[in-house]
Amino acid sequence: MNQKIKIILVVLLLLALAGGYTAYYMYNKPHRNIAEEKAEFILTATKLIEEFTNDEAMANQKYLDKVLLVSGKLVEKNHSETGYTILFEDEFEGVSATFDSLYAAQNKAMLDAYTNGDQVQVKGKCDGMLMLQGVILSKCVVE
Amino acid sequence: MKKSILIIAIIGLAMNFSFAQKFLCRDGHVWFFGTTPMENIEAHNKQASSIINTETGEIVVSVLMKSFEFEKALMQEHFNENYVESDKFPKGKFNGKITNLNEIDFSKPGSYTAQVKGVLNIHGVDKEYEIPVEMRVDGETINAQGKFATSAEDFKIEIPSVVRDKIAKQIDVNLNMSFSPYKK
Repeated sequence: MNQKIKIILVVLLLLALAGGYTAYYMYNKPHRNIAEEKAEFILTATKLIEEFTNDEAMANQKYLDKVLLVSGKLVEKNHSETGYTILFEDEFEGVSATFDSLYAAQNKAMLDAYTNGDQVQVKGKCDGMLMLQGVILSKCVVE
Repeated sequence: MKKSILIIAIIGLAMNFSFAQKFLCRDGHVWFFGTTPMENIEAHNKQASSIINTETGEIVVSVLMKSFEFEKALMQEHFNENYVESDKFPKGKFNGKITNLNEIDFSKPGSYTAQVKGVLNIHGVDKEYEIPVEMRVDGETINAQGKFATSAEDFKIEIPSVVRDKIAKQIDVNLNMSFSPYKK
């Protein structure tokens, strides 16, 4: 009898510990690492812009939160205190690719070396389409 | 007679164009936070787009909900999936107007307080706000900073009772944007 209660108590304690650990892990689970995710779509900036311009709702459904590998012609670079952004195909209605400040700092030489007209390929998470910026890719890395 | 009306109309249109001055921002910083004894919630979006028309006083701000970054991945997930439902409503949009435009001289450097009245749409729900915005005109650029209070209720965002105590009733929204003139 005593033995049984002991076993039950131990099992309950283990369950509580496992539950606590899971909750703690969930609460502190890491952010997505876009750099290590495989791209779900590989396409040109022109194609991506076209899809969003033709039917934004459908493009949102297809691409939001997905990792995209996009290539295109660089038309502008913006380097401010808030981040490093490069724009493809058009300054206002193209594709806007943003790099995290850490990535931008570590790869500053490479990013700085790009000039307008260069073909560049980036991988990033699609956040949607926004006025003045076009289709937004965030957490980008150059590939 | 008809011709002169046409000419006046054309001149009027042309003048409108030459005076209409638009200022653009593509890397605006919008952030919000709410505090409770249990937990602080804070998220930043550094990719807000905005246009100010200094002629008419119209202001438009647009952000993508998915570009808000939280410290905790789990909070970000809940924010997107359960609260603002960013798959269904990917954008947050503000359409407003400066109501005291006559007190602001965008051609003269200085600090002005603009009263901006307009409608914010989040989660598919419209809500009217009046926001005091500090505008610093400095040569060719305008820096705008403002703050206003919102709540999840304003946008019909339901928070389950289990976590209600952990999420602040009042959410303060802040913005800091630098505009440069649109030349073309």
